[in-house]
Amino acid sequence: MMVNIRGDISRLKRGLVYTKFFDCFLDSILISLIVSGALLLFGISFMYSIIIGGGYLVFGFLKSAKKASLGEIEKKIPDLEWQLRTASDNSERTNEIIERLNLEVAEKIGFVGIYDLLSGKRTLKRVGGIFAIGMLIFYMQFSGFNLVSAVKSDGFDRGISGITGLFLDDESNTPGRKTGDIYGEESDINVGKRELEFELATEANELDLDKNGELGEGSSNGKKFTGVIGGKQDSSYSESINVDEMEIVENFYNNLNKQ
Amino acid sequence: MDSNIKSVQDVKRIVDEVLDHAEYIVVGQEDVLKQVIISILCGANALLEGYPGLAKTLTVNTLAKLMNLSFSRIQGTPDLMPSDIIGTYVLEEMNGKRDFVFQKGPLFANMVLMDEINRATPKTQSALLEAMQEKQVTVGTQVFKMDQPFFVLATQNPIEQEGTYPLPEAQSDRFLFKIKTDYPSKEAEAEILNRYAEENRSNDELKPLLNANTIIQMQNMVRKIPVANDIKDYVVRLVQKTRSHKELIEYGASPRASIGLLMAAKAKALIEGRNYVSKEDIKEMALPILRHRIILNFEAERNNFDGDDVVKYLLK
Repeated sequence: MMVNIRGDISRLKRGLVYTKFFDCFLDSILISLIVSGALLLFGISFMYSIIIGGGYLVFGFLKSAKKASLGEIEKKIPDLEWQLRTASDNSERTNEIIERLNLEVAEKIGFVGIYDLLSGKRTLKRVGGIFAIGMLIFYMQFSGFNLVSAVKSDGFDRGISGITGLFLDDESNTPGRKTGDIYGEESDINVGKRELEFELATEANELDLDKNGELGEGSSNGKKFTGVIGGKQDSSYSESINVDEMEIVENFYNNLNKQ
Repeated sequence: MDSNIKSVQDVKRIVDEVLDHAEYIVVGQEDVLKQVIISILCGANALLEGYPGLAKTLTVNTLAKLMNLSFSRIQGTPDLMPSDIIGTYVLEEMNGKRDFVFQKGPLFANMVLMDEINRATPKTQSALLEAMQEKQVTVGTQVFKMDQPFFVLATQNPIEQEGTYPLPEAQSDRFLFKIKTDYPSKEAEAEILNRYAEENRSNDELKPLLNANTIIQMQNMVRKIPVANDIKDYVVRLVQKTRSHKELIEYGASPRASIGLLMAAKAKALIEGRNYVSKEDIKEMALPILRHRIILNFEAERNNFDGDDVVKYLLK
């Protein structure tokens, strides 16, 4: 019985190429995730990692597809060791022994599935790695963990998102723009929950504290103060607001004045 | 006798049967028996080397009996002349006419056992060359073809060097195998005692299992065994290595070694019932095929290396 050994071997080789693509695909995802994790730590976009992963997928696949050989299949299916190469190299010769060999090889190829060509342990490890790194990145992203601030100014009054890395037009992400909120800008919230200590300058007060005397009714929202209110500017007072925090205070007053 | 050989499995079955029967007589020399059979299937000659009393001659005798081939035994001695083995013209009278007629010597047999070949003079050893390689003998102007199958199985022992004539390289090269017979294991030696000190086993108890036709059929099958290109590359690389490692080897193996190595690997695959050759077959056959074909240099000899050590090194 003659068998089309060439066709069978080509089919098997095609199967190997598919598994190589799958392997490269998993590898490229793994590489992308590792790179994006690293980039995220420095507040750089993960878009770059997609480019790296994509590049790996293309070049890695081309390289491994070129290397795909029958010897590799034989390593994965020891039952076909040397038989596959022998049958392939002697496909143009014919005698009763070669025919018998072709028949045996064709029969064995019939039992080979794509899963036989995949390295189960390696694939499992890759998938596990992808899952673990994916979870880590997910956690990092939502916990806001990074070594460097995720939002930076690009120097042109635009914000760069740490997540997407794209230039955003959204004003809320743009430092230096006012949000109209009494608390100042959103970015200032990032300063943290530190307690600020500052004293109000007396010049801003409507009261003329230089005048001593009884206040008239209505001057104090209907409340009547008995006694004399006296005030005197502390000559030793001086403002002690940090330069970094000056802007926050200024915003506060500006908003206060508007209202 | 089975001469109906259709597949490699048939060959395996027959060879297994021959080995079973041979092991009834020869104990603890399975590898030697196998290698001699491989040599026969390749239609090639083999040289058995080993200390006295290691069943070299018994092995060849037993196989000859099982294969039902015309068999002759020549004892190598310093006074053995070429005409003693090839034959000579004798004057005969027929119908009143006297004429020289060629009287064939013991070399004209299917299986020739040349016992202690290194005791024969170089002149006599050389007389074997043509028969061993070209399967023919030229006497005067006449060429006599040998019967098929034809092979010479020679023995020599490595310890008695006095009064011996070591085989020249050209002649060693004509032996496909140099088979080293080693001492049997403890268990095998105990079994030898049982068989030969208590029972009295003899070759005469054996019945032929093969004939010349069957052997020729099997020899033809050896050539039909397909080989992968990677295996051929490996053989070429291995033999070329024997020529390039000048730090150990003075002269490497010839292309005859490459052909022999591949043929032996094919025969090994065949007797094991496989229709393809593996790298392991080559590795296993490399030692008996290459060990006598490389000439070590002074440096290697100074370090007490022998052919086996160097071949093993090349196989790594």
